[in-house]
Amino acid sequence: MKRLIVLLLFAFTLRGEDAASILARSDAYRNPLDSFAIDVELTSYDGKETEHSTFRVHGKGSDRSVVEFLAPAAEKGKFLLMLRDAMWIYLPSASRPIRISPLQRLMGQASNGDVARTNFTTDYTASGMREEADLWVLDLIARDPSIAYKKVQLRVDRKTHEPRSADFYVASGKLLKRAHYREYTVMNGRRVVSFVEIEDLVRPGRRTTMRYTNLVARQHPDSMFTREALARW
Amino acid sequence: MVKRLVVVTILLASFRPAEAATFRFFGSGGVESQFTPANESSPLNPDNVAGLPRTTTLADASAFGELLTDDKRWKLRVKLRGEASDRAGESLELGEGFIQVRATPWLSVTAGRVIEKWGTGYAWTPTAFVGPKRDPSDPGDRRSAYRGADLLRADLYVSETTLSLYTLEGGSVAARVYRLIGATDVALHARDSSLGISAARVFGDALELHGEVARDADADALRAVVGGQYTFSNDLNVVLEIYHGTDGLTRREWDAFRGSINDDLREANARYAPLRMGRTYGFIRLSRDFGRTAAEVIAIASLRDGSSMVRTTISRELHDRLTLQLIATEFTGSPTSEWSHVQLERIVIAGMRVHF
Repeated sequence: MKRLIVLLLFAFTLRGEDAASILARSDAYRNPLDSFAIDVELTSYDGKETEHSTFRVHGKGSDRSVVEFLAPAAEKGKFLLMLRDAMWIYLPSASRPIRISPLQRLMGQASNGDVARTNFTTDYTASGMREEADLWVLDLIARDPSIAYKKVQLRVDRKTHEPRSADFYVASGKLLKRAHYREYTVMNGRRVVSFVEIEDLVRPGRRTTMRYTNLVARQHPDSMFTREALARW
Repeated sequence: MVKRLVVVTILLASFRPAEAATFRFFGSGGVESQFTPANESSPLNPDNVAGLPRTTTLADASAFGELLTDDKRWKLRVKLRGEASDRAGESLELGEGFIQVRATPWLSVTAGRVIEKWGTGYAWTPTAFVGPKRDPSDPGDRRSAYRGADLLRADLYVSETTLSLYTLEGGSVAARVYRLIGATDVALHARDSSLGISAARVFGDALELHGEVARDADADALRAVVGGQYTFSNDLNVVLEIYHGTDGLTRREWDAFRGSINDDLREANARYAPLRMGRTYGFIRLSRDFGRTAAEVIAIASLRDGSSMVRTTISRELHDRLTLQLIATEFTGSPTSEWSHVQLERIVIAGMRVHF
């Protein structure tokens, strides 16, 4: 009996490790380098109008990123800092970064967090896993109550570990957004996600696409990822 | 001042980018017509004695230029602003112009003219001892009108704490300590004998709360602001703030001021300044984007007499570079109230802005 319990515990532990390992391998398609810069073209459709924006995301590690606004012209000179789930925005007319909440939008259906966050491993724990056809379905639970989306259901290709889609739930259990990881390409010698589509499930018909290009390795000092350093980018 | 210029000269002379540099250039230019009928029922402006023009046409342009090395060790920044008006002629000024050097991973030095905006408040920032005073009726600085202060600044990054030391024009010195404690931004501010503290924190995914308290030694005043910002799931953003300053007028002082208006109208006009004639004010801002159209309503009320200013802005992005704006400002309140004394009946602005 004892052996059976030990065996079951061991099996559960293995399963837990598997989920974490799958998550880590899946995240590698979104955040393949430790210190990097990548361009993001964001297009938002609200059913009637289309908006385009361009950003450059400078990242370090799994939980630090700075988003540089490149276009449209009215947005040039702005920077967004994300340290885990804390965010500040820097406007060119003011030297003081302003604290903002994750739900404040960058543009269209994309919130600040959507663009700045490059992986799930830091903020979420894989609490469950099941198979669904040729996919793994991972239930990710936010590690911290301050994380905007309390639960994420991530679908991962069982053969390649590429992320296929992610459902984002808020604390009430309501499903707000679904991200589809549509295209992959080789950048800087690594296969990475290059096209993501985000559906707004609260307001059907609204969607945002993000195209990633020009991934390069860049050595950013730690001190550049602080609120006070935003004016120095 | 001479020492500061020497330091700036040395820094500029030693500007030799070790690797590729990036040049950024951006800004905007705008033209607008302002319709400003006089408030002849204000005791301060009977029969428009102030001679306020009914219409004014303004044009302005702000250009930002930045040169920085890819390793972010050096950065040069210039902000130039020009303005022309059919009432006041033309002007051109250097809003910002500084060089920034990251001497070591933990030390950076900035010299020149810098727009510093301390504090966490949206409409009021009592701890802003360095840099321009914020205009609560235009917290976004719509026309990029802020001008920086001439300073030399050293930023020291120690662990997760930033210590900024300033020497300013006129021999003034200032300091600020910032640290993210838990998830809360906390900063201590000082300039000469003035002291202040500010804090901000985000709760959950949509609520931000902030506050600051400052003791201004020059004005012998204590000022404080508390507020918050909430973003609803339909993208409506709401900012609320309450401000209190002991350098504003009490009810008795306001009544005395009103009694003195007829004694010296010119002096009374010089003394009257909206948002400084009381001690406690409330601020609310509602904003929401509807595709390329954005709407914003700002209301500021004197909590002593209930009078208020309401500013509504509708802007429409016609093109990625071109935005049209219509701004209407109304003042309400009883005849004895603060905002009913404004010399203008209303302000209506129609304009366009081109970004480059």
